[in-house]
Amino acid sequence: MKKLLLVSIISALGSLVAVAQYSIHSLSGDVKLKKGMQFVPVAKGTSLTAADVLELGEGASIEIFNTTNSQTYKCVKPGLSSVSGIIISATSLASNKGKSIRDNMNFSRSSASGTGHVYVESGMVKRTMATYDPEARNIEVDPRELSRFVVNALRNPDAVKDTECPAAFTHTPNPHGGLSFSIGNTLSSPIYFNVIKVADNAISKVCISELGQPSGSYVLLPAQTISREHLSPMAANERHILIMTHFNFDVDKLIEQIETTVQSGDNSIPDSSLNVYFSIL
Amino acid sequence: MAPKLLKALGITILAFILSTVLMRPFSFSASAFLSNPEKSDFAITDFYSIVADSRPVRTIDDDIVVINLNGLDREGIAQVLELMPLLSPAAVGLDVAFVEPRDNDSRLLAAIAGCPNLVMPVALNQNSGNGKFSLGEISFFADSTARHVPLGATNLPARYAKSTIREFRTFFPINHSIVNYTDSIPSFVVAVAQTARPSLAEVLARRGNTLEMINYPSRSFRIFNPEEIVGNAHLMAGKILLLGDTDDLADMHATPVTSTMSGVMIHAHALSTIIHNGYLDSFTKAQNLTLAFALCLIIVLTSVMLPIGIKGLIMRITQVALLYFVVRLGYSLFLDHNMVIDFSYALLMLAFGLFACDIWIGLTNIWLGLRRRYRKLVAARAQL
Repeated sequence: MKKLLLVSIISALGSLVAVAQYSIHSLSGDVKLKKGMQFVPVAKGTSLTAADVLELGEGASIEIFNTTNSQTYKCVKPGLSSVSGIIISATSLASNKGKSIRDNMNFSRSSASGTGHVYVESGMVKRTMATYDPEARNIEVDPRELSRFVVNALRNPDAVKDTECPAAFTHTPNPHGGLSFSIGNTLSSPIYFNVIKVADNAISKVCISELGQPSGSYVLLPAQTISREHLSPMAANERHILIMTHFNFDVDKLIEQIETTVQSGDNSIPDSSLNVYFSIL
Repeated sequence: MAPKLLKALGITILAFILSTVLMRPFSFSASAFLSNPEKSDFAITDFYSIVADSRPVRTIDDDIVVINLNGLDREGIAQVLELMPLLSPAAVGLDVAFVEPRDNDSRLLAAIAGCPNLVMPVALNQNSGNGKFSLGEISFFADSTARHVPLGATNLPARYAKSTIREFRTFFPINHSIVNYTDSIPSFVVAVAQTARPSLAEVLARRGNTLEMINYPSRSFRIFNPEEIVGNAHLMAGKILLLGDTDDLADMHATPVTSTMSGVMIHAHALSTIIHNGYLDSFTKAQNLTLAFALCLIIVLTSVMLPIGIKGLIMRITQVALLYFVVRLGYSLFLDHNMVIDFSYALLMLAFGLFACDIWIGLTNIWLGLRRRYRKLVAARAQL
């Protein structure tokens, strides 16, 4: 292990002379790189040149890293943009103090861009929740933020491929055509999850899955496991999606908000500070 | 001109008196105006930080790297620490306390003994009354390590529990000796800075502040999981490494730029403030009040000088323009010169300035009216 570390340091130092100036620091949504007449998907770490052209889909975003000055430049504008264009535009926006102030100044208490708080007070404190999770007894995940995450994930499944479930999670189809899952909470705090389903990829028609928990969500305390199995065959055109968070969320509110988000055409980027784990059963 | 200037001065003083008497009901207005949901925990730097952090350009700190220890047991942490000597770090800040001994701690203890430039955490309890601190939690081996491992207090100052973390403390005075520390213990980030960059820690000491604001905006850090250390060793060699849990829900705090930030990331931002000399200097209360007084005087003098016909329109335009100017100036000073002006006083005075003008005019008219009546009465009696 230590020899491997030494070799990797030496070889990395040696390769520094050949490192590209720009690379993709982070991205979300549909982002492609134009190569000749074709558009190829890109990933975090892909090297870029100043002349490279990127295509951002609706709701997509990209951050480009410049090794020369260790700065990142963010672009959320859909369409075609060159790397140099993204950098110039981001630099110009960053230096426009008047616009920055105007964008953040409004006369209501709610966050205009939706990237404020991802957790909200849940209203009445339930006695059982106070017993189960006293630290988070009156907090729930903001259904609007969570719905954006779910919608974005359903539209761009590749973007959430690397999201690892922190708990011990397994799921298998059973011989009768049904589905089963098992979750063990290996974390030091409770986890909350539920299962929704989407038929024919019609995101606006999301509903509770047969494996889901109506009215609220499942909760697992640390060192607890749960298994659930649906024996009857499931429809082939349905996708059952597990959503897991660190705080309580209401599945009814989430489903309503997903419908609202899709119908309103809201393409906002989900707040990256929200820890959500997403898996298709 | 002089009488009008004196009149404007008098009205401005009246405005100050009114603001002092009526300030409390209006104090929430700044937070609502700037749409800060935390209505009871607001500082003007929060607005500046939110605006600055929302810019599309961010800087990746090249000097500080965070290693996420989430989910690791002591054996896993020992494995990570064993890699540290190969990275020749400038400092290793381990934000994990091992309060009680367990079986098979030998590997961990050996890794800690062999880790270069290590700084260990200690949690302190504040004693009410004398402003000093006493020992809270410390690793069980802190007293017994063969060499002196610097300690740093990981306490994060806040107005109350769960409120926003805006500052870090430099030193904590202590009631009783803790290991080798007799009078005070440095904070965790100061201890790491003293290990990695002693000259920069000296700059901090010369500033002589107990509390320093953390310069959060537009800064990111490279965060690696333990399995990524080998593949990214070149990015960690010679750097300051902070080891902690970035996903620990029990160690999440609100900051001006995000509602949940882990303790180790707050330490990273605070350390970056020290390393890159990004200290924020505030106007004193006297300076803020002077600025507010000057702006109020401008608006009152303008009101006094203008003829009545166009006064209303021009005053409203002037008020809004000054408001925008104050916000813009405050943001520019924050961003370009790391200076903090609390413009909430100025905002209040802009509102109270015109209010005071109306009260002054009203009271003056009442006084003149009474004086006229009195003179008529005296004249009428004299005729009789």
